[in-house]
Amino acid sequence: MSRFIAATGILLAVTAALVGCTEEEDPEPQWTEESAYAAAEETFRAYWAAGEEDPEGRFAYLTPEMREIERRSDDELQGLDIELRGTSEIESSQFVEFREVGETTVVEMTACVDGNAVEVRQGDGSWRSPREDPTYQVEVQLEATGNQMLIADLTESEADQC
Amino acid sequence: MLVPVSLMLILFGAWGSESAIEPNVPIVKCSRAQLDAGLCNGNNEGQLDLGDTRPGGPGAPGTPADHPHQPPPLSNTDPQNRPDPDAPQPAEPDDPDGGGWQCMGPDEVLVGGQCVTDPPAPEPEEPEAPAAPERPAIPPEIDQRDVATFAPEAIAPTIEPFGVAIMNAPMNVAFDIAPHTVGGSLFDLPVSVTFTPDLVTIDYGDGTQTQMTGSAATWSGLGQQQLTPTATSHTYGERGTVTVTVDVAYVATVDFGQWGVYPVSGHIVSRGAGTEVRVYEKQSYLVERTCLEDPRGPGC
Repeated sequence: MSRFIAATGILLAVTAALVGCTEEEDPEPQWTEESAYAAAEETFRAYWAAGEEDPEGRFAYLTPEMREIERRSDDELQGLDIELRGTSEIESSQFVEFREVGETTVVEMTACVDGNAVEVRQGDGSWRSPREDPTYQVEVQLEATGNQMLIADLTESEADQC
Repeated sequence: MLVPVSLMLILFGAWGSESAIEPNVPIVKCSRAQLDAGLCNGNNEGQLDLGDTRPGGPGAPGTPADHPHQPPPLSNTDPQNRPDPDAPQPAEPDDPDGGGWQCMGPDEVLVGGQCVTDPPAPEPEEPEAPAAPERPAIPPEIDQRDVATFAPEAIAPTIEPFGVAIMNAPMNVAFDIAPHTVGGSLFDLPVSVTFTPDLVTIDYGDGTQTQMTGSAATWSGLGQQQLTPTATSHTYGERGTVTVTVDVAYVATVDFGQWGVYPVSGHIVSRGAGTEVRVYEKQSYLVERTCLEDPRGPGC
């Protein structure tokens, strides 16, 4: 009887050990590289197309941190009495990197922006382009936690490839 | 394999980023409006310095080597952003005006590579003390002869009624006088001479004179009936022709500009040209017809 109990205990222990070592199956990934790129480009173009007329529309494509930056930017530009007119357009976009960190999917991309139509009002009331070369490159980082891809970073590229 | 990922997330959390993922190279977050305005300057401060100077071209963060015309960095209190002292220093801008740089703020100007809204006033140059001009020789007293050429024009009075006088009825003499200034040259200096009426003398041409000050109005100006006495009226007792003269005595001052204003001693008298006035005698007749109707009638 004692041998049976001992053997049973060993068997349970070995079974438990084997079960503990069994590798869990990875969950089915929510984003593929292709779908993430497609969603990133759609989000970025939609954000750019929302323009300055519809702040709430712009905010829908931004992470909370970027929304705060947008609001602060609007306030600062208004405080400095800087007035812009015209609309810039996305000429092209290029994907740089796709990676997944935990449950977050990250897409980095660059885009060439045509700002030829954008003018800034000067102190004397005249309008001129704010840039000598109105075509410039931006770097965008988008993140998705779940099924929504949002812009998490946006900046002008140090190296202009446009 | 899950463990290293968890460690990465913990480390990123310790950096205090709100974003779940940090890019390999820290980037500055900008809004689209800032990008459009060229204000995304990428100085890794996590916020923008609106009003920074920057080249009009792209490449906001631009290293000094990329932008030789970049002005000296603005005040940077972030020790992480201080330039590496061992790194090669950018060349000084060739163009003291900052080349293609401009300030984005409407009230800002580029001073020493920085945008400021209240630029320091330029050092006032020591104005060269102008050589004191030699004081011209102006006589201590100027009399009427010195300004005779500036004398006002003679007064031509208005004689009422209708430029004639009626014996034994008041004749009114009206005129208008006022101060006036005449420009010219005196003692080889530009001057302006101001004449102010002081005394008016009316000579009625029959040996009678009167003096007064100021202007004299017509009967209508005074609101009086014709042939009624006024301050300047006169009544002739005989028929004939007289010359009525109005002389005006002015006091004058001469303005020499920076050399001062000098009074003119005495009066400058403007002699009237004289106006001939015929004195009629009024006679009354009871007639059947007027002289127009019967020019040969008595008294016509």
